[in-house]
Amino acid sequence: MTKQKSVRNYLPVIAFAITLFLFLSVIIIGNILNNERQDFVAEEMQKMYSDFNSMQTLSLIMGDYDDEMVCIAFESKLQELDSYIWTLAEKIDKYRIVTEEFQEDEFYLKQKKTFNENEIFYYLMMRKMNRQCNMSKEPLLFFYQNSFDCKKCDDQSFVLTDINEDDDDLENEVAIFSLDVDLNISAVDMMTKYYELEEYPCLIFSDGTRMCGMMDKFIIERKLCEINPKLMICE
Amino acid sequence: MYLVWFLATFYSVYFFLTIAVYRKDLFEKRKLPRSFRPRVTFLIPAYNEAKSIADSLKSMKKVTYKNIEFIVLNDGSKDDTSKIVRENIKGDDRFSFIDNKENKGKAGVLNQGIKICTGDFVACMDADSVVEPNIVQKVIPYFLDEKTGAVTVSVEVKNPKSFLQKAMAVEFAIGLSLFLKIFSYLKCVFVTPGPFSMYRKSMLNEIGGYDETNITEDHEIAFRVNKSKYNIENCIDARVYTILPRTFKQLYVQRRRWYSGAIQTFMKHRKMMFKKESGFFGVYIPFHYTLIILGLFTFLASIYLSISRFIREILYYQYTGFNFFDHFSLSLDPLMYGRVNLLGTSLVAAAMILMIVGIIVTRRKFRNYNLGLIGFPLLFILYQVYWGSAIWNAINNKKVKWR
Repeated sequence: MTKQKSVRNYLPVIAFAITLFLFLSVIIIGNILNNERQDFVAEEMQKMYSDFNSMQTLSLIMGDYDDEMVCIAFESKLQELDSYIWTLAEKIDKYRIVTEEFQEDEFYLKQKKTFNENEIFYYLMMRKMNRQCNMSKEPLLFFYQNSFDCKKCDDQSFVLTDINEDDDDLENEVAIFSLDVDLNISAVDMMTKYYELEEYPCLIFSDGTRMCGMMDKFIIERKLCEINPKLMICE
Repeated sequence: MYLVWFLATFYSVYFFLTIAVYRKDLFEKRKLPRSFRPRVTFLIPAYNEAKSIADSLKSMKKVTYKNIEFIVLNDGSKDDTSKIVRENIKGDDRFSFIDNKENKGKAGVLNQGIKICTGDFVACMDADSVVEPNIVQKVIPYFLDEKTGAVTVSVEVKNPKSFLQKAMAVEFAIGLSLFLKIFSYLKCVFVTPGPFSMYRKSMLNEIGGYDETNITEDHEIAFRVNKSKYNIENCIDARVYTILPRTFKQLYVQRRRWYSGAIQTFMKHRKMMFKKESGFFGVYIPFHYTLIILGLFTFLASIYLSISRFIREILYYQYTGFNFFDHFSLSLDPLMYGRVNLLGTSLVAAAMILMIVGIIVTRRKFRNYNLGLIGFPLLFILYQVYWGSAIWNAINNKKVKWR
C-alpha cells in the first residue's frame, strides 16, 4: 500500500519529465534536420553561383577568343545546370513545407529570392547563347503565385515537373524557369509588366506566346513542338 | 498535433514506468488462508445463449472451490437456452435456475440474482464465457483487504479464429489484462468486465447493485465503486475466456454499445471529475476521454487531408495523361523528414513497444497471436470510426440498445 501510494505520487512527475525530455529531443532533432536542409540548400546555391560565374566569364571572353570553343564550353555548362536547376527549385519549396514555418521562414524566402534572380540571369544568358552559338535550347518561363491566391499553380507545377522529367530522360532541350511573383523581385516584376501578366499560372514561350491559366501537358508540348519541331519530346 | 503527441506520450510513458515499477508484483500470488472460505455466488445472466451456455456451464461444474452456488438467470430467451441449462445442471445441487419469461435486461436479472443469492461475494459472469477451475481460489484472497470492493481478472479470447478475433485477442491481452492491473495500482479501474468480475456483496447492497438504465452496466458500476470507499483490484493470473465478434458488423454493434455506454456513464458521473474525493480516478477519466477526443480529431483531420491529397493527385495525373509509372522512383530523402513526421513515427513506435512489452510482461507467447499483431494497430482506425459514431449518436440524442 505504501509503495502504491508513493508510486502514485512520484510517477506522474517522472512521466512528465520524461515526456518533456522526449518532446525536446524531437524538437532538437527537428532543428538539426532543419539546419541540415538549410546547409544543403546553401551548398547547392553556392554551386549554382559558381556555375553562373563561369558562364558569365565565358560570356565576357566571347569575341576575344575562339567563339566555337566558348560555345562548346557553354553548352556543356548548360547541360549540367539544366539537370538540377528545376530539381533545386522544387527542393527549396519542399524543404520550406517540411520546416513548417513555410511563408515566414526567412532563410527559404531569401534563398528563393536569390534563386529566382539567378534564374533570370540564366534565362537571359541562355537566350544570348542561343543566338550566338546557334543552340537549340528551348526556354519556358513559368510565373506563379502562392497556393492560396493561385489554386492552379501547384497543378501547373506538377505538369511542368512531368515535362521536365520527360526532357531529362531525353536530351535536356527544354529549360523551365519558375518565377515566384510574390517575392517582389524587381526583375520579375518588370517581366510581369512586360508580358502584361494578370492571372496565374502563366507560361511564356520563346516566341513570346503567353498561355495563362491551367494548361495540361499535351497543350504545352504541342506548343513547344510548334516552336521547335526538332525537340526530342516531339518525336 | 503537439498537444495530442504530448498527452499520448505522457500516457504511454506513465504506463511504461508503472509496469517497470510493478513488474515483479504483476503475478503475485495471494494465499488463501484456511480460515477464509466465504460463500461465493456465481450469477450467470443468459439471453439467447443456446449456442454457448453449455460450454460455460461445463467450465463452472469444474470449479474446485467448495463453498459455492451458481445461479443461472434466464432473461426471457427466445431460443433453447432454458432447455440447455436444465439439461446441463441436472443433478448438481450447487446450481439453481431462475427462468424469467420476460426480458428484464442484463442489469435487471443481475440485480434479481444479487437479491436472492446467499454468497458473501458475487461473481457476475457472461453466459458465453468459460472460467478456469481454480479461479475462485485465485480471486477470493484479494477480498481479505476490507477495502477491496471488486476484483477483475484477465479476459482472454476463446478460440480466436478470424483475423479480426486475433487482432482483438492482442487488444484484450493488453487492455483487459495488463491495463486492468496497472489501473488497479493507480486506483483508476473504470470497468469491471462482464465476462467475469467478483464483487463484495455488502458493497453491492451499499451502492444499490447495477444501474438498469445503463447499456454498459459493467462500466457504470465501476464508477460507483470508485465513488464509494472501496477499491477495484485485479488478479492478472486468473483468466476467463470469452467469445468475440467474428465480423466487423458484430464488432460495430458491440463497440457502438460500449462507446455509447461510456458517454452515458461519463455524463451521469461527470460531477466526480476533478473532485478531491474521487482521487486519481477523477483526474484520469477526463484525461482518458480528452485523449480519445483529440485522437478522433487528429484521425478526422488525417482522413480529410488524405482524401483531399488523393483527389489532388488524381487531378495532377489527369493533366499528364495518367503518367503514373514513367518517372516512378523510390528516392528516400531523409531531409524530407520533418518534425511532424518525427512526432507521428514516435507515437506509432510507442504503441508497438507497448504491445510488445504488454505481451512479454503478461507472460504470453507471440506465436499465439501471429497476424493479430499486425491487425491490432489497425483496430485503432476502426475504433475511431466507432467513437465518431457513438459521439454522433450522443449529440443527436439517439438511444442505443443493449442488443
